[in-house]
Amino acid sequence: MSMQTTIKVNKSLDDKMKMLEGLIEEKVKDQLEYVANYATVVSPVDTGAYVTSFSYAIGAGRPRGKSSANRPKANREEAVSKGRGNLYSDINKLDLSNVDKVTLRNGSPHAKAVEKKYSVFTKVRNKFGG
Amino acid sequence: MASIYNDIRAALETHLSNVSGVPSVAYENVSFEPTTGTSFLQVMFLPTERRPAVRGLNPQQRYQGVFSILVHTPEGKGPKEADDYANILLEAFEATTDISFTNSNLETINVSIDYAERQQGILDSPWYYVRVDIGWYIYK
Repeated sequence: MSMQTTIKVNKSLDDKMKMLEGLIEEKVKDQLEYVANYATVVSPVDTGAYVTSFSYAIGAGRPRGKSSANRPKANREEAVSKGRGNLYSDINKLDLSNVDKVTLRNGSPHAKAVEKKYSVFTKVRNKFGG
Repeated sequence: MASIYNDIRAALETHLSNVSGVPSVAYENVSFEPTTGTSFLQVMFLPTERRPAVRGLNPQQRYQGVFSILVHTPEGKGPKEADDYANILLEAFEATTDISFTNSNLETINVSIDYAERQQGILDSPWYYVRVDIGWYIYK
């Protein structure tokens, strides 16, 4: 004779799990915003091309990248705010429900030269890991 | 106290100055004219965090940051020289090393090395350089 048992699915528990998933996703978004704030604040601003060339991505993708050639001097606060806004926009577009890595990139052609002088990614890695 | 940054920098720079087998060092905001064709190290002290380590009044603080060393070698001569210097530096600042320093007030601090890692070599004419990052922390 076969045996069987029936488990009652607790709808309430399912709702709580969904709520927890939502809370965790918000926490991850908060952390990504914190990283975005830090990376843009510690970035140098001359023309603003570097600080507005950051992007967040999951996996491969075409990074945001601007050249500083023939650009006028930028207002620091405006450029930092725009760079931060770009990253916030990326965060809102990311599907964070099933990922374990998000990549911060800077696609400006002079990103390596900036890193040599200002160590932006070195500081981000030290502060946030990665 | 805020002057701990002076002591941390001094601890790391003194430790570096005692490492043998590496070229001369260009320190931050000190006049240094590199000679093309002659290798040199360039250091940067990068504090990244100062946070209470515990809750409560007057908590001990955790300070952390990076001591970056850019190993510059002449371009066009292959990566070996830069690799060799980077290896010496990684060994001198190996993770879990404690670096002790006593300041002029006879206060001694111990800076702990969290990690030592190198990045890829990059050509930046007339140099080829390798970045060696020393992650440090201290509770004070």
